[in-house]
Amino acid sequence: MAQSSNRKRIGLMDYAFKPMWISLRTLIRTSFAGGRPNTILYPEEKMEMADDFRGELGLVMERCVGCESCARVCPNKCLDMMLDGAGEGVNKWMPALDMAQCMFCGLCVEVCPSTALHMTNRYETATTDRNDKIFKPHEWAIKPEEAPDQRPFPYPELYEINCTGCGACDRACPHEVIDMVSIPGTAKKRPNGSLGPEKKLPMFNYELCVSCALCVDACPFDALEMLPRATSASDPVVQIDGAVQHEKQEAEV
Amino acid sequence: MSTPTIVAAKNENYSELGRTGVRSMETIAGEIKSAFPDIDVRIKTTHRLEANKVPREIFLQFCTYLKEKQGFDHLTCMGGNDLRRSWEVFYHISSYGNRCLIQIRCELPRNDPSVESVSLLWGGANWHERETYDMYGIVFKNHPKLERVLTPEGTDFFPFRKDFKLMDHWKIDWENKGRRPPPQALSSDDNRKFGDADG
Amino acid sequence: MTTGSSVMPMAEMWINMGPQHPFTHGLWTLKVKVDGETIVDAEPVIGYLHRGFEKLCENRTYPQIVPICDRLCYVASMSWDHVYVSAVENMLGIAVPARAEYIRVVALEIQRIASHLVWLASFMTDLGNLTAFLYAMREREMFIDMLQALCGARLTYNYPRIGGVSQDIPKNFAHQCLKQLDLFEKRLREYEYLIEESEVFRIRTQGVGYLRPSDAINLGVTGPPLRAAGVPVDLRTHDPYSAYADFDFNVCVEKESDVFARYRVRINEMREGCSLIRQALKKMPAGPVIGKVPRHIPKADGWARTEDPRGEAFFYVQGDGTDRPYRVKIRSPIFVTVSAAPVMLRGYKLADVPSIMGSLDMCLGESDR
Repeated sequence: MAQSSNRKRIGLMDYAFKPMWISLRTLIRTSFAGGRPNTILYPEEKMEMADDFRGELGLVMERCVGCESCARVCPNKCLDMMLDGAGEGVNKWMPALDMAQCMFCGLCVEVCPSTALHMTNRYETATTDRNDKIFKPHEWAIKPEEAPDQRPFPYPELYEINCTGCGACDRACPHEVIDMVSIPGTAKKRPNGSLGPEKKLPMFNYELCVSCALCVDACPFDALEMLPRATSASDPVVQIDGAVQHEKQEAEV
Repeated sequence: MSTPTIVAAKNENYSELGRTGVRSMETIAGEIKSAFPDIDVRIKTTHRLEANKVPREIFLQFCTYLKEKQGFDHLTCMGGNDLRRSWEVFYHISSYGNRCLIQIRCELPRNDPSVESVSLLWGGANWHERETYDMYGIVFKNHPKLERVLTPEGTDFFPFRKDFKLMDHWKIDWENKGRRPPPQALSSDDNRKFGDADG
Repeated sequence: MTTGSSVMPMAEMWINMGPQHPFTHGLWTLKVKVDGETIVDAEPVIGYLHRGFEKLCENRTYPQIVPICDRLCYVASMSWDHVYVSAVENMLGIAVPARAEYIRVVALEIQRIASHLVWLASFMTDLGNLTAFLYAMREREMFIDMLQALCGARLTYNYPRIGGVSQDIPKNFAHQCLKQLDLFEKRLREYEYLIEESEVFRIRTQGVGYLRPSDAINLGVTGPPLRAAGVPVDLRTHDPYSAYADFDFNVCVEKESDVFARYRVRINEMREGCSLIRQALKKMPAGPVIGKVPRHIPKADGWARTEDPRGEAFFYVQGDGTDRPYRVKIRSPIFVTVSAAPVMLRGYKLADVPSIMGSLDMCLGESDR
């Protein structure tokens, strides 16, 4: 039989006693005083998870603005938007969750502009019936203190150099944030001497914006980008509450 | 039959493979062009070649030339594609000695999805061609064993064709806590209207 | 299960090993044709785990495919995420920030070591060495913890993004990582005492599963089995991708092309992986971790090939101008390597099957797709 390694066969000391010594040392190190075992007794002790561990999803209802970004990005379509009570008689448009289809990828948390979605550290999610894992919005809500990682809202910003004034963002916007405004003095002269149309640019009313990024998706020329922007005047939640109530009244009528 | 004794291959020394004797892209592309004038070979980036329109008639001849004369000794990948009006097979063949990779695409007519097999040139193409037959129904002539590999035997449809539609996501009854519809079998001769997989 | 030959009854027969068999590591069948104890022919049967992955991708948008790529192979999901995003970046023609490339190298090498440790554990269990199983799984836990600190999940990472990575490395990561690597390198020497010096291990691995280098190239075998045959092809140096061109490391090559050589290649690759992580953490530049990505996909195609822990992984993405790919093709290294199994098995005894097939590091998630 060919010897396929060029390591030479070593003596009895390394051959027999060294492996035994390694095993014995590990045994002593893990089981006697001062040692730390390599395993934990699971139901009694829990593993320490990292801070950004992706466990069960939670929704902070106070922060949700109903932009549907999470429902659009979910690869498994386990989020769906519905009206639900957010307390004090206010109904809001919020995501409902089918936890049985969730695969913990965390894309919804990443796209959420208002940090209303949060992945908690809970990982024991087993039930006996998979219909038990279907949650309406208020059933998977968590308190705002449990989701501390708030960041500033991203808002659409315009790169004027790319914009052609086509108005696709205006048509895509669900909340009438965008108005197409003609810029005076930009009209070009036609060959017959008359003036052509003036160039249009979108103007944003950030107080109404919910950061849903639909305008960015709709723009055919990559002229818009979502950028975090600290606005002092904006408390978008208040604004949106009004808008949702308005919608609800319309629905009742 | 006795246990084989290992005889170290004498003339197989690969220790300098891809380190010395590497020919440049321009040389290879030029030689291919002079041997096959009607095939458009382009250099995409460094180490990447493209021959996007290879006629079906001279496909096997072209592949044999690549292996025997230009040293493309490893078939990285091959696959089929459904272009709706025609079929297509694409090959990515790499050369260890010259450190490059060539992409070959060959279009097949819609009514006759068949092409010569290259699994006798590169043994690595064997299962990839079986898989392409399995998923698209493209027939490889002279293949040693053209059978289904991933789907079970007796499957009567080709699942990756574009006219094979997937079923819709379950519509969940949120108000009444679930009650999903029972799972239904997926078959090609089902008369129900299949939605797109993402609704 | 067995069919006798018509000429000589019971002289040759087919034996089904699998789909439920301790050596298979997943659901697949190895049909073996034996003459007494000697293997005459073999035929692998796979497909029990086929999920239609490529069809699934055609109905997802480009960012939504990344978490699904995790499910290709749960032992090395980071490398599959990486090869997918590289293919899309190639298609879009965008460059990735330097810091993101370095972080990817760190993550990929940690993943490679973790994957080789799982291989070591399962291979040793096949050969009856349960002690090594416990040791290898203990070490793997360190690397899983590192990846968890990096991206927040233990097995399905979803960490690389098109154009970069999802988040920067945590503050204390480099210090912790270097400390763990020192410990791991010390323990790697212990493994060699525990495993290699065993007479049983040597007899069951040396001179078993020979594969000619020319056969290995022709049959498309890649990764550690190819390098164990003496062919120095490692895509990290052969066709450098990501930031691998900046680092200095050796390609692990053995000459003997048997099971023991494949074991040596993997052990040496773990050492080289440690040195690569050290270099990458030392030279890591500052800057952003994700670049600007165009929202609109051109009608083009792109591909990328990388060195997976198991061999050459390849992704081909063809876009048709919409937000979903028109065709995705995956080359899984194990899918090709297992098709070459009959060449390796022919002529050896039936008891050598677990040793030979175990040395290939089977992973059914990626081969059945």
